[in-house]
Amino acid sequence: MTTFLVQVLVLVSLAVLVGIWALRFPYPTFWLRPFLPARKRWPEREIRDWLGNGHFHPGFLTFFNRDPEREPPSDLGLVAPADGLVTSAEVRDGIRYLVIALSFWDMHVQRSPAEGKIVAIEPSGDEYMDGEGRNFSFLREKHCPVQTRVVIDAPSHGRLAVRLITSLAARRIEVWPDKGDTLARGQRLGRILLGSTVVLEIPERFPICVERGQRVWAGETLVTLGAAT
Amino acid sequence: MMSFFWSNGHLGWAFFGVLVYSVLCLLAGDIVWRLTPAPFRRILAVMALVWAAGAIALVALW
Repeated sequence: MTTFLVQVLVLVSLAVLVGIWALRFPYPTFWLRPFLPARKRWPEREIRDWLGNGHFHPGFLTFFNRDPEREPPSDLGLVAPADGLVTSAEVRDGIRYLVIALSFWDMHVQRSPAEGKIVAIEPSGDEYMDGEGRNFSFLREKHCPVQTRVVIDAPSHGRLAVRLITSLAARRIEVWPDKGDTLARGQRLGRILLGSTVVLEIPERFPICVERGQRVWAGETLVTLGAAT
Repeated sequence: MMSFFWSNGHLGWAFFGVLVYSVLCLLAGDIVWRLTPAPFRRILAVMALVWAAGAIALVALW
């Protein structure tokens, strides 16, 4: 009889596991999450579901809000302002716009690309955020609807700007230093909460050393060579 | 055949083994599906073969 009870106990336990698995499918179960890489642990479809219902997995929020220490390289040159993928480096009117796209799994704290002084913080598009922080400005004609442009006067590279741009799914932008503050190279600049894009504006005369499709890390990856050509 | 399902007041060990093995195969297949880039159908086919081989081995051992 004891053997039978143990067998039943084992089978019931397994049935519960299969039940949980079936209810969660296609998303990973709680016992599997710790062993999966971030993109598999919190699949994009599941995150988009959370954006819809507002019930985020606490583990994902902890992961999303991570803010690791970064050590800028000793080489001269600008460091990437954000973690993400370089999607464009177009030049217009003497300014190179280095666009870094952030995914849900990228670290979302931005860093100063160079030592310098903040000369302007220019938010725009915030009036299109609703009370829940949801952004409806995509319905307007603006191409980059909600953004904050931080202009930095860097002795080494001249006038730079870092644009923190949100997406449809974004909540809000935080910029921590104030106008007039002096920033160290790689210092924390702010955070896009569930945002998507960071654009670094660099004078064209500084050659960049990253290319489209390359992954960069905020405060660590060099994006320009040190000297102007 | 009865002893396969039931013997000495408990589930037959081979039957019990096949049930447990089936669940473990299902959960292992899920892990493989999540961690490998292989197509779903291929994973399904391989897992079905693994399950069948294991189930046959359990029954054969019994």
